[in-house]
Amino acid sequence: MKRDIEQTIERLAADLEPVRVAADPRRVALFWWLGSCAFVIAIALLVGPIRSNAFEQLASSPRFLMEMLIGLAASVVLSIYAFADAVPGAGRPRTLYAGLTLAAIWVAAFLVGLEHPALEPSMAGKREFCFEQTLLFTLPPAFAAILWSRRYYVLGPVKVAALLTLASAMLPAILMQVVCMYEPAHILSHHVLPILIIVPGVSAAAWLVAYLREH
Amino acid sequence: MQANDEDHWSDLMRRSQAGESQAYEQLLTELSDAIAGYVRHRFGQISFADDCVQESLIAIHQARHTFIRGRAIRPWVFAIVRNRTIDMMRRQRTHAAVFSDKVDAEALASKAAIEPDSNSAEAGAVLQALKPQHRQALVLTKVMGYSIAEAADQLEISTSAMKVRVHRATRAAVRALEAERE
Repeated sequence: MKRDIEQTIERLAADLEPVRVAADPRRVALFWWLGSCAFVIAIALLVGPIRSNAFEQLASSPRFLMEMLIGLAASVVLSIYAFADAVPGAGRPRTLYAGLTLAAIWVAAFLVGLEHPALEPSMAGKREFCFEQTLLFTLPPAFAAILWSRRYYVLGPVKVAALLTLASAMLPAILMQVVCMYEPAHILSHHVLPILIIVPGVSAAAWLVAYLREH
Repeated sequence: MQANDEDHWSDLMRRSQAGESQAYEQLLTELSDAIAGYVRHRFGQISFADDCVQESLIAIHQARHTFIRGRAIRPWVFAIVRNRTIDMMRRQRTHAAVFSDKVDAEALASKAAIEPDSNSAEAGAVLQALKPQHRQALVLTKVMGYSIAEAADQLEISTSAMKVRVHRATRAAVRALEAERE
């Protein structure tokens, strides 16, 4: 073995201190996800009510209920993958593909809904600033998740930040289906579009931070 | 063999996380051979393979709290190694270009007032003519692209000492280049 490698090993061994092993990222992901759901629901209810007939619609329209459940499943699976990916070699591609597929199905349901909506489109429950609210409600959970992920050893900071932001942004977007008006075109332009804005935005910021740190 | 390594390394890592430096030294020694083999197998013969091993060992040290007991250690180790090696290859490519553009054209050519086209070969010869510690300082900061602080850390000297060393190395390089031109 080369002398300089030996010296590095000796130095690292001499510097060794006991470490507290990081928590299982999948458990952390679930904990974060539940906390984020609670936060998004609480803040959404603080600024406005739930659409009056939302629960009735959930009970009477299986497709509407499926739209909600698929969105929630996509968000939880993506967050599990993203937190796992903060640990070297722990993120399983299959989990990522499953999460992205669920997210694609969730969006596709609204595209199909443009022609064949799950519910009768209606202005009932319309929020004035649902676009801005979706953006703003995303930020605290996303930043909390990104900060939390930094406790691990993130090898792909941009990918992890993008996926955590996607998982975060889906939460208010899903909630808007019951606290704002139901109309697929409105959902796509006011609840889904903010996701397409904020994910690249946070990813660009993560890239910049990584770049500045490296240089 | 791999399954044995898996259990053996996991056990050494578990003890290392508890602060057992002997187990840690043994783990890093065994890993360094495995890493060198992996880098050779995966990336071929690269001139900075030893640097990749060292960088990987340092990264493993920094990430050791993220090895979760009960999980396989190989994917964890080699994800780090792959990342560090690709990162180093990228850095090498970038800084090889920076070296010819920046060191040759600015630091050397402008001061020695020579033709920029003839710089690369001359700069290489000039580097060889420098004292080892000056050459090391220039290579770390101008070729490898380390910041002053990172280079100082590598050489285990203070940042101000590193600044002085880079400054002296640049002046020595310019003097050597001028002498060669005369």
